[in-house]
Amino acid sequence: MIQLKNIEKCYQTRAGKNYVLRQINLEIEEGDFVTFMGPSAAGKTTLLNILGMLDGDWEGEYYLYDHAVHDLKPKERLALNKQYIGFVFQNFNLLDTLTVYENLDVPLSYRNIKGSERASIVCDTLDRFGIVGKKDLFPSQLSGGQQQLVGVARAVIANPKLLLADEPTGNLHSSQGEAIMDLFKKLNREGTTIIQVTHNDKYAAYSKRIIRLKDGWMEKE
Amino acid sequence: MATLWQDIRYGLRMLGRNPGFTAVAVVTLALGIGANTAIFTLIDALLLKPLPGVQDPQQLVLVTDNGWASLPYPLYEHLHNSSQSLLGLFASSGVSKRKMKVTGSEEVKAESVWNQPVSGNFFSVLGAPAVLGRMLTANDDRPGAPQPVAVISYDFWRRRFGQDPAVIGKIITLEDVPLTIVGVAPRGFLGFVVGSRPDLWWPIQMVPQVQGWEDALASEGSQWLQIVGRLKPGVAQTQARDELDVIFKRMRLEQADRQRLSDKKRQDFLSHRIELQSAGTGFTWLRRDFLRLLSILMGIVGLVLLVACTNLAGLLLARGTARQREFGVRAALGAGRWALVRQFVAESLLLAAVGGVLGLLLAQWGVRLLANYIPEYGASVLLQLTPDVRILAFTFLVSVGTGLLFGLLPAVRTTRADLATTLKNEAGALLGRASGQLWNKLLVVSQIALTCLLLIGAGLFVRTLQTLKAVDAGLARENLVLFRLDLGREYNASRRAQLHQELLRQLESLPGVRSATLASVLSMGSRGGYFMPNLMTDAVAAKTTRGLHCSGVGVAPNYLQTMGILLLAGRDFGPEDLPTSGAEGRRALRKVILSQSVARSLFGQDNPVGRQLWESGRSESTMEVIGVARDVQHQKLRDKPSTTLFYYVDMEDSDGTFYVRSRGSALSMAGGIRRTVREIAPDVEVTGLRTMEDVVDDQLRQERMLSQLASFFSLSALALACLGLYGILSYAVSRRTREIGIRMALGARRETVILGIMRQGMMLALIGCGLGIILAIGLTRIVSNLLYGVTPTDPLTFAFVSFVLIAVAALASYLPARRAARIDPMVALRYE
Repeated sequence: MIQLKNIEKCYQTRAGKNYVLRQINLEIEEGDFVTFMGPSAAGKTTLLNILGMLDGDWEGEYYLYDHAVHDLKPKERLALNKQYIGFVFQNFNLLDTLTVYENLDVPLSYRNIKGSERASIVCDTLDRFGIVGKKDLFPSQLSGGQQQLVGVARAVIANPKLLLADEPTGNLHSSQGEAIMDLFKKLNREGTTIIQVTHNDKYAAYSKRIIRLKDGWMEKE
Repeated sequence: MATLWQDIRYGLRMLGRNPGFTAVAVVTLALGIGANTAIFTLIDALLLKPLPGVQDPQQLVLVTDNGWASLPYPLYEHLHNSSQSLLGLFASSGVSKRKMKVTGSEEVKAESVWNQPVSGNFFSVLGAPAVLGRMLTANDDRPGAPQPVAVISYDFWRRRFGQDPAVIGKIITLEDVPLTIVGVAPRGFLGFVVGSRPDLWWPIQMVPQVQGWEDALASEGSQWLQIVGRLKPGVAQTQARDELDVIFKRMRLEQADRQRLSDKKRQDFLSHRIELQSAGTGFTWLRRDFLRLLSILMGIVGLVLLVACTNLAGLLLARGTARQREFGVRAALGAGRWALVRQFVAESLLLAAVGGVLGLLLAQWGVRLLANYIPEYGASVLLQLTPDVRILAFTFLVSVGTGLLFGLLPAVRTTRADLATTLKNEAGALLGRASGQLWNKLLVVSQIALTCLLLIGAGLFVRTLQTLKAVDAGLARENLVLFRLDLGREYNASRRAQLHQELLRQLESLPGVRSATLASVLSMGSRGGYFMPNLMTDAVAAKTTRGLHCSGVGVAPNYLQTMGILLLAGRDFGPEDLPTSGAEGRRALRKVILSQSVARSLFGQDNPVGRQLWESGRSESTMEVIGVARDVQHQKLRDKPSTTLFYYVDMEDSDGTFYVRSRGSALSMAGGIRRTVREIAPDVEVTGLRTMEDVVDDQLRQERMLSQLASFFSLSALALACLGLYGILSYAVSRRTREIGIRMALGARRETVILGIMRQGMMLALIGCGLGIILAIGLTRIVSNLLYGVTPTDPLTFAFVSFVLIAVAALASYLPARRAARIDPMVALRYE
């Protein structure tokens, strides 16, 4: 599904180039559940952003299915992102001014789906994640766990093949974290490929593969 | 469509969540859009609105002689009888007030009505059928045998006659001439003169009877009519012009032959040609007077709106920082750049739409204030100021344009954020960068530059008004009141003379009156002296055949004293100077007083008192100089003082103006004057009673309009620009809270912090001010012919504006600087 060849990313500083990713070579199969681990500034989030096409300034080759992402223009990358990828953030990143229902509707609204169809998908998702009762609440009216539940629901609502999660449990207490990880496991079983970044060994254990990064280098699997 | 609706819904919610910002933005926009709409409404009413109640107005053309639209009646007759390319051609005079009485009515006192003499085909050419009775016809206006009839307006029928159908056949008297009402004009029909609402129309052939102007229809030199034609279908305007021009030329040729003009004068006389102007929007002299003024005001309010847009763009750019995370998340969820820009712009357009609606309401109120600056016939013009499709379209386009102008740049900048960084929640990633700050600084500098330009323009207009107010016209304006008498037709020449003399005597005996006089001119007003060509003296005649042209002003005794005009030599007129009638009177020398410049031109350094002069063409002296007065400005303050010759006024003249000099407040005389007139002649009405200061004020309406409006708008722009400067500095302070905290923890003094922040603000203000001055040097020459006594690059105005701008900018910079200096290092270091 994913093939990375010699991915490198650096920032130009006065002192010279400052590499944050070096020589990343990696293959991820469809249905995989991968965890990136490592100390701060190891390049985990940067690698996740590159995979999610939020960061387009890097070198190397990146293949998603048959698409050579490194050759694509920003607009084409956006189209690919919309087609295959869902994102879960550490700080939830729900839109404060929108209700739960509207937050779930946002990704669909960017995918040219008809209003009636969107309503039906949102209702299904609310039901699937057990948050029907919260649909008219604003994020500020939800607990952290509930917010992340909505975050995950929003990430998967457009039925992505790949779910990228950047420390999804980082702002949650343990029981909430476990609930989210159980949800990830379930999604993975249903066929969604998941790549997460975490510092927590217990949550990393939910994944099938753990890839460790240090100072921008991939250490070992 | 659903997406658009969603954008609008989210946009409304965002605006609702920031009520402070929304309110500031909406008020700013409402002021900017409202001012533009108000000025445009006036332009629309004066220039663009098609004539109401007129059929196919686009087919109408106004006939002009080299662009001049006042023409003599014989020309109308000639064109009317010979033209083939027009469906019809009518003539109409100006709309004026006359006294009307309804025969059989219990009302004893005559009422003033707006009326207009028109040719018999006026209504048929305009395509306005009667709603009751019939309109005027060619038969009513038959040369030499006109019918004494009138058509009244629908509004007058409703207002004065309660829509009584029996009005047809009623006899009214207009200036004591009986006219029978034969019809009522259609509802909404206002005739051809924009800004006027005639109550009744009557045949132009009745002018000699009604106006007592015997040769009005025969005089080839009296230019008093507008001539308007309707083009035949398929006939181009140029075709009609060529045809009318041939007729006109033939007529001029005949006239030139008859008048035996010199070659040069003949050439000049025959160089005139007919020009046609589209007349679908009617005619008004106000266009000549106010179009340039309104164009300049439109430019001013356009600049104010630009300042408002720049200001809001700055505010939105700053707000964009706070919303970067939102846009980052939206992008991560699949939003393309266009979708993000659309969302941002939708909010700007919503703000502009609300501002536009409020602006439209504000304009309806504002335009009525503006209309008060436009006088005509001593009353405010009745322009049609109700919003029409054009005004709504203008407001809509301005609102959309405004929304895009201030929304697009922040939208493009905000949505260009680095997604990965933004999602790490590093607020200020975009605008914290040097380029983001640069844009904000550029916006503030532009605001200050535009404001500086506006302030300089306003300063020049204010200085012009001040200079004109201070012009020494040669007469004392204070404690001077003037009025005219509205005499009926029953006052013949001898009764008029008797009344005038008696009134002057009575006025002088009124308590509080210093002196009173009568003159043939309306000083500082619209009526000047009459042209006296080729004044000669022995000395002048010895040198040349061409004498001195000057303006003749008839005055009663005590004129110089009453007007406060300095007598330089000789004496003022006294009762003994009254010209005697009969053969002896005709032989006697007419006593005259010369203005200083006339005396100097005719007599050089010699004392002219006792000397004689005559008008060219006479074989002997006809006038004797009894005095020399200081030069006086009789009409426009902007003009040079008139070269004037004062003679003893003809007391039989019906068109004189009375002047009363009081010891105290001039207006306190009003009651006494009216009472005195009522006692002497109960049937005579006092009109136009005003102080001389009011007359001068009236003359300066355009200048006052420009200076007051330009000042208001430029001060609004100054407030906006300073708000912008304050905003950017406040934002900079909030961004640098931690840095300032560290600096203070390391020992920086409060003064150092204040100076540091203020330096930033003052640098922007100085750059903006410099650019504004450069702009002003280039652009103020556009208004140079509206200025008086001040150059377009008046150093004093430039210096004063720069000082005010810098001082206000310093205050706007000081407030955030003071806040920065109050930062508690401990709190600041915990801030992040």
